[in-house]
Amino acid sequence: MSDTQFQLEHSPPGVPDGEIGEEEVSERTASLWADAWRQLRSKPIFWVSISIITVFTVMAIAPQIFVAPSPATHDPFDCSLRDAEGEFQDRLPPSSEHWFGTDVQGCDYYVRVIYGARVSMVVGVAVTAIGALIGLVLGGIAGFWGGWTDNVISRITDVFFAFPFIVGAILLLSVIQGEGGRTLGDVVLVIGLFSWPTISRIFRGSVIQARGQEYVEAARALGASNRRILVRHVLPNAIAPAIVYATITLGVIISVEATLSFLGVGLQLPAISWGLMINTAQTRIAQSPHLLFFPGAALFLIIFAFILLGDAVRDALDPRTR
Amino acid sequence: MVRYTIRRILLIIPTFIGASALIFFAGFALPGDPVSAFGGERALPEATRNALIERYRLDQPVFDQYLGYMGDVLTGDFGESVLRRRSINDIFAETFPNTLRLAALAVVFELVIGLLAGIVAALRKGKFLDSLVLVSTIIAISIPVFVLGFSLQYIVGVQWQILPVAGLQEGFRSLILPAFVLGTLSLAYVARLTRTSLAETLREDYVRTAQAKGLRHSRVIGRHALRNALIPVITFIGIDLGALMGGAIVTETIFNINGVGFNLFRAIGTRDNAIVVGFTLIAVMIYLTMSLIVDLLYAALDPRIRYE
Repeated sequence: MSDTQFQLEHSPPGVPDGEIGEEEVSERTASLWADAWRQLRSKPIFWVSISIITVFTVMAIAPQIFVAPSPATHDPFDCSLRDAEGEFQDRLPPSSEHWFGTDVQGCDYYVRVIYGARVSMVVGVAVTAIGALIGLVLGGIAGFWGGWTDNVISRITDVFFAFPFIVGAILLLSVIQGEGGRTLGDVVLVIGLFSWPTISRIFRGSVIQARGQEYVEAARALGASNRRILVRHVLPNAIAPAIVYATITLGVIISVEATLSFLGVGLQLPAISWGLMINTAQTRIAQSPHLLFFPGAALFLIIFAFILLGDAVRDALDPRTR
Repeated sequence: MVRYTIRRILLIIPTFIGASALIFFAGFALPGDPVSAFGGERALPEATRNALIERYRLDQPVFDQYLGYMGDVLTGDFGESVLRRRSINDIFAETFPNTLRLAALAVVFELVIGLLAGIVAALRKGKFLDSLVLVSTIIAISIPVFVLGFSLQYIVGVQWQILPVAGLQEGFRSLILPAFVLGTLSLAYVARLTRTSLAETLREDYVRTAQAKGLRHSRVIGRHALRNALIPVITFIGIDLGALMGGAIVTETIFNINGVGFNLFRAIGTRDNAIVVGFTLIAVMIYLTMSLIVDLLYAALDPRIRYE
């Protein structure tokens, strides 16, 4: 019943099709990563998702490039309810002057949608980095050392799984509200706090699996230290599922941020966030559907790109599909 | 199986203690003075004030408050909403049926559409229908729920005017749209999970044996393959049902449905601690119970699990 995409425990579904396969025997020396990269390169889906992600990344770093050709204002905060002739400028439908129309405040919607990319990308990347860092460290420790360390970490992970992510995030974020507005950093920290358990659990599993392999025993018999075994033998062989999951998570996190901002507990005005834009527009959608359509479509595109990329990376990294 | 069951049940205890403590202290962090909230605009007489403080154990250390509260919870008393002057049990009993109905219909959508799409995709693996299912499930997963909710409200409710878009006045018809929105994401997961699982099962030896025996195609799939392939799908739906309480917040808010999620969200806004803590705690209990049932069911259905 995941109404929100917050049930991060949902195992990323769908193991891919197995129609790939013409490996040349002469290239058998290639590592898993080289293999995976060769596979990825040959897939159109990979290039489609990478292109979308690149466009949005540039949009987040340098929105000026995208707003430059717009005939209307280039400043997202340059809004006016009436123009010089006294005509109303709010909620205009898309036109040749205002490509995406204008919003309830008379702001040019195209410029605002472009500027909205930054928040989504920053939150997506930062939260995934935090979640992956905590998850990899805890999952790695639990999987590699086992015993009571594993027990303690696994129980903590259980608690976070049982705690409804969205309720926790809403609760914490509404507490922060009391202190004069929430910043981007607050939102990142709170979502990050709840985003590590799945990565931790996945990584723990694959570390346990890698730890039991013969090559690890061989390394140990040769006198390798724990550290060397972990870094040289276990990590490279256990990290693939975590990477796949992190890619998909990036898309999910962008959706989470938009949802929280939409609910009014994420970013606050005057921040520009697609979720916040839909929140502002929600009572006017019936009259001005473009207010929902453009930020909604932007959200869909970027989330779609990351989930597609995650799918392609999984196909490439999972040798069983070859 | 008995040993596994006992171990699995014991595992719930630390999780429940941890989660309930987290909820309780997070609820406590909410600013505001619950006692003066009780009086509304007017100041309370000293005697009433003291009585309230005593009743809600507000003069005790936080840890003692937690223990006292958990004691009440174990006897089935989840406290009282100061703002709404009603017991949490009452409010829950009023709102839970709405959420349950919504969730049940959502699961029907998940099962009917999701399973069907997954089975078709697995049987036509690599063909057009398979790609169609894969692409449409990724699309469904990529649309944030509130965007999907508003879009369908606009298209189905405002443009076509064939279904009500808010409230529950029209009974079953009112539930169709929100239930579909609530179920979409899981529907996509169910379809993909079914596809993967069935495709894997179809490669198993026993399926080939059944085919070699000359059984009809429909019987091989229905009797031999599907039965085993559906185990992970059932697991998923069980866990998913357990997560319904926290999950329905967005849908219930958009469609204005007086359910658990709607009230929980409103309570966070109005700083109604008792509802927040009580409802979240019930949500955690439901989740833990569902995952317990699912795990035991899984162990019963698949003997390999028990011997890990």
